Amino acid sequence: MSAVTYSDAQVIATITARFVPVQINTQEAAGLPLVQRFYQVWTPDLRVISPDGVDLYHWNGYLPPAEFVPQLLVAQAQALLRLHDEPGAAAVYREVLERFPTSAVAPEAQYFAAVAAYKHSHQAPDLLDTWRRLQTQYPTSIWRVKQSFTEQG
Amino acid sequence: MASIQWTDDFDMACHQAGQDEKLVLLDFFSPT
Repeated sequence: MSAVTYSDAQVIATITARFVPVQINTQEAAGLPLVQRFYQVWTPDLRVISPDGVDLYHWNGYLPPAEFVPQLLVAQAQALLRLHDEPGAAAVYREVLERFPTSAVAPEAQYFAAVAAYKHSHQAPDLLDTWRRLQTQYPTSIWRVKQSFTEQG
Repeated sequence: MASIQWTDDFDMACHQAGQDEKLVLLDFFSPT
């Protein structure tokens, strides 16, 4: 991760602007309390944590910069959504869809962009119209499947 | 060239995140 992803200018800029970054060496005794607290089992293990110490989103595995940045944005957006900042979450999800429409996490961003918009407006079209784009933009995605009950009848 | 300013102080990072209206990015790693 450090040789490629963490040396990338866009990755550095994204982390610096949006996060306070913490690195814990899982092989050192000093890291054990956090390893146990977060039930950590495999590295790389990335987590987005609220200021009061709650795990709001996490993922495992190496990602190159082109996938790491959109993954990071989706993680930030999901954290904002869970913290009930729906407009903030919706804006970051839209950013993912505009900047990284072919990334692996774009379908997830499309799904939750609809959720964030609906949770803010409580208007059904905000949910259903945005979910419908999964059918055309990401038809083979699991996130399309997750809204497929709306396609019945 | 700029680099990521990592800390290993989790509690301080949470406090800082609250002050700066940011989130904490926690990276568990193993040097190999």
